[in-house]
Amino acid sequence: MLLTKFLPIIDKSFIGKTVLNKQKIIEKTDPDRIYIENIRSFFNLPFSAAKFFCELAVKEKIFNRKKGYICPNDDCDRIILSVSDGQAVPDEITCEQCKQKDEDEFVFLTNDLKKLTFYQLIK
Amino acid sequence: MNSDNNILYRLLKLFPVQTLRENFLVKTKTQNSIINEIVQKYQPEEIYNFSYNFFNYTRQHIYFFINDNKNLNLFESPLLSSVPLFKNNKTDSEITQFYFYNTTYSVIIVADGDNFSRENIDFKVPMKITITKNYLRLEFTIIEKNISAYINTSNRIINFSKTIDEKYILLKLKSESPKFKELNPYDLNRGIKYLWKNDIIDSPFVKWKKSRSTSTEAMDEEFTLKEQYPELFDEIIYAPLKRTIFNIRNGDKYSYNHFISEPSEGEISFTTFAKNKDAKENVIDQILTNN
Repeated sequence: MLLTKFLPIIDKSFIGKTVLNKQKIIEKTDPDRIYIENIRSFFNLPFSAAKFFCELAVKEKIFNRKKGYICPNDDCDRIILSVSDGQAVPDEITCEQCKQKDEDEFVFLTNDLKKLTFYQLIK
Repeated sequence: MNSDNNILYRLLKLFPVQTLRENFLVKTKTQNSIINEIVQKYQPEEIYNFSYNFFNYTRQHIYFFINDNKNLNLFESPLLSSVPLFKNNKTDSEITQFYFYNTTYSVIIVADGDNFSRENIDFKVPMKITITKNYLRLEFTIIEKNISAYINTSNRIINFSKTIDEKYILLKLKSESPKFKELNPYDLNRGIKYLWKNDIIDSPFVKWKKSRSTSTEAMDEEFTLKEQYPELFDEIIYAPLKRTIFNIRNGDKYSYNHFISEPSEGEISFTTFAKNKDAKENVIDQILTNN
């Protein structure tokens, strides 16, 4: 699915030729969570080119852009909330795992959290 | 506890003793006595100049940000107005700004028995900002977590808080420099993975992003991941890397045996002293030229 929808974007470019041997790997990718680094490493692109193709896929309505908010506790470091572009977020987010683990801090101001961009294939 | 000489002593403690011995005329032999001798014999300005010239020898946390617009003239000068600037150099291809920021650690010193006292320990810490047409790079000197190393005591020290740290400086930069605020971390996954694929580095501790979780692999003893689990390596090489330790296989050539990187955030840390002035740049060049 990811392959058939996303590849035409790459195929229009010079790197299209190197794509076929990556087929198995890309088919294993979770279509709901595609990181720029997944695309970058599949096609051995510079980061900026991989980001460009992902953004092109958003424009062509193949991908949804999403944002994951990361728990800042070193031992956690997981995405605690993910939202689509433009979706409202609360002012504060609680990391339930850190709360259960009795960490000193588990409620965070959303604006202070690091964000990770990823993409979702539109089915 | 916080005289000018105490603060100069702590500044010199951030450098390897060999580098001090080679660059100051001293008669004494142990680290403490060498530093005390330098502080007594040399002017503060000479010590600051030494810190500037031999900054590459310190242990460092380095943050890279991508400079998309390739234009150096858009950056404020200095970028950080609330921190004392020591040197500011500009050429057509590079801006470097060297600062000393002041920070205070609040600690509790536990003496024998139940006696304890609360003390403030002041530091003057060197940091450097470099802006090229490709990136902005922030280099922070690492202060050891074990503060007793800086105040010459055998008593137990409990760190309580510090007034200024890297996070604070990053926030200050964002508030004082609108240009800096626009920059995104320089993703280093490609350069790091090139070195890993080509067996220049391997990892005893890897953290990486799976599609719906974050995974870590902490190798036992001296084992490294690619050597022991080549199939897992083939999987990881397609994932965003998080904070990972890398052993350099031919450490002598690079003068470091390991470094730590969070490639997706553009961060590299050298937590040991450099053995020569070019050591840090050699590793960074390898990463950037293959990125």
